[in-house]
Amino acid sequence: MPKILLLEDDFLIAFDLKAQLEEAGMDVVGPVANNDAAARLIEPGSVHAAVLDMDLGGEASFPTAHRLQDLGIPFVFVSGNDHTELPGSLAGSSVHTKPVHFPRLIDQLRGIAGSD
Amino acid sequence: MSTAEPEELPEPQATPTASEAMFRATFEHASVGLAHIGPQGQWLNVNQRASEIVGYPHEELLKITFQDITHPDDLDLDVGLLNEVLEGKRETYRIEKRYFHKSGRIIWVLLSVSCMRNPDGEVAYFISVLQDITESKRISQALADSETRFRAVQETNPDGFMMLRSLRNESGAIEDFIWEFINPAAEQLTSRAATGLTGKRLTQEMPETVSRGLFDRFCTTVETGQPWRRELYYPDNGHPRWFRFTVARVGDGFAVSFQDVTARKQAELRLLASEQRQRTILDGIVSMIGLANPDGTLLEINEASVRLTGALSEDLIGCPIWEHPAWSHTPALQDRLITAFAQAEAGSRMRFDAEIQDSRGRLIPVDVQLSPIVDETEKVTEIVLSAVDISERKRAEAHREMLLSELNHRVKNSLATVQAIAAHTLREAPTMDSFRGSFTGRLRAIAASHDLLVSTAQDSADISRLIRDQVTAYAPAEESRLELSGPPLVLGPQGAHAFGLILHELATNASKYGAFSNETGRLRICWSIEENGEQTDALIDWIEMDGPPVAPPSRKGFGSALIEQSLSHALGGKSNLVFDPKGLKAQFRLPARK
Repeated sequence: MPKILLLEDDFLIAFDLKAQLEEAGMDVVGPVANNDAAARLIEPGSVHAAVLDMDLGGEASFPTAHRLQDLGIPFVFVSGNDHTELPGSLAGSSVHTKPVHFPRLIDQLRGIAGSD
Repeated sequence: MSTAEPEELPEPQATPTASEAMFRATFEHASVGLAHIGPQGQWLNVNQRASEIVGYPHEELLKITFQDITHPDDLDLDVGLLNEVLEGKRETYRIEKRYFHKSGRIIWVLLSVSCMRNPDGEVAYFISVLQDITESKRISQALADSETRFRAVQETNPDGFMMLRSLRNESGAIEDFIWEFINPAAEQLTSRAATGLTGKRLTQEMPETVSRGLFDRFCTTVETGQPWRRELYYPDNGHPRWFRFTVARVGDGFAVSFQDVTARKQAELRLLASEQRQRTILDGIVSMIGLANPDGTLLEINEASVRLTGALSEDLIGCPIWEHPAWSHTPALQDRLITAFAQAEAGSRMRFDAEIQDSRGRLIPVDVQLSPIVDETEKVTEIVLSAVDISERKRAEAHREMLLSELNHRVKNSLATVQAIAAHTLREAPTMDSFRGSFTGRLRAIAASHDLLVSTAQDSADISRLIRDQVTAYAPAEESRLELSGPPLVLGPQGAHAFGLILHELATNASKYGAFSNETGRLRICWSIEENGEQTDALIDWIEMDGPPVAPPSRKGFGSALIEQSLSHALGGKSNLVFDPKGLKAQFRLPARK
């Protein structure tokens, strides 16, 4: 069962995402609402992939993304903003715009998480 | 009438003597014409000069009468006077008359006639003295003609014209000027009658000529012969007028011609004022406006450009515009401008946005326009360059984009929230009717919190209003069954949204299973403020009493998760739910606004 880290500050969305991913047979780690809380959960091998809300009520989730990148853990962003510019180091990351199209998100997570 | 020529003639029949010979010679060689005329008008005796005057040789003259060669217009006068002498009514007469010279031309003669009478009183012969006055007559006629022409010209001359002669003191210095002539136009322009001025002194009639320095200038013209021309202003009681004076020396005096140029002068002044206004407008614009040759050389530049660059306009004019400090800060901008000038020279109107640099090194976004000015052959003669400051427009554009982006973000998040609520509600709803009730109730709860937040300028929500908005709709009508108490307390937007939904879940639960589901149950909500160093927390108690007995739910659904976990998830708050059989008790802690 792939373990998916969920970083999303909006309670309603976070818990819906969690429910949707669990229904799709994934093991959700979190949800957490900020980078610090996410950092405490990320260790090598602790998660297979991550879903990151780009805007965490004022702070961006880029630090968490960088940490995951360093550890080689794949991730996808969800964002309410179509035009948010990703920093160069994160260019090319996939971004799902809200409201999220779950079948597509879940397909992608299955592809990148490599269940074992 | 007095006798004309005091000449004594000898007796005609007297014997020639030496004195007679002398008299003869005198008669013959006198410088005036002398003739003896018979009573009928025949020439009896004519001297050399008289013969010369009329052009007839002596012998020819003796064969005709004076009437034969007298101009018909003068004949009656001459003959009339002659007859008066014949009749003894007069002794002499003197007239100016015309003769026909033998050559046919008319000659003027001053004729003085006296007579010799016989002892019986009959006229023996007339003695005529002839002086040729043809030349002086011609001159005076020419003078009279000239005078007539001069008067005719001055009568009709629309310009004022006056002539004044100098009045000098014993040492010869000019003391004043005396009017000699003034034409009708001058009378009208000066509002003075010519008769009133002729012979009068200038300084007495028009003392202002002295105070305005005109008198001295007139003197200079008379003394040096130097003419002058000048336009002078007369602030004539509310009817200001401008006159153009031209002054020239004439004899020992001067002539002055003057015309009213008020209309032209006012038009000039209006033009000047309008040019100044335009200049002021151009200079007032916080933009560069310049006029350049097609090759880019600046010809003129407005004040704003000078201020903008801190350079003197003299330093800028004559140089290519792209060497202007505002444009030379970036080679790419210089190239852009050079290219644009080339295209404008070919007749195109150019427009582009750019950033020019002011004297303090700040970049100002501008809307640049190049407008070619063409002559009648369509050749571009000059190019108007303008660079209008569009900082405000750029700022407004950026602000609008930010707002749009923010709106887009919020709409997307709202839709995501709706999506999440729909999904949560759908997971637990046994029927479609049940889904509809729960779903719309939750959406309304979110909308109510939102309404409350936007109704205040600070994007904050008063807790008692939040509670009323979320709970009152589910509470019974009796006031005693809902009790609220606590100090004034304000929540921020995230707290209000989260706690608003919690209140909604608790209230719907109370109306279904708790204090509001029977006839006696009561709800008390009380709150207090707790300061924790930097943070201010709201502590809220939800206490249900006298309702049906309470048992913990067999299955925890979305509602319970929301009540118990939403405050801790992102707000750093806390929830505690106790299923006391006497009534549900819940306690919440969440950050409040200070």
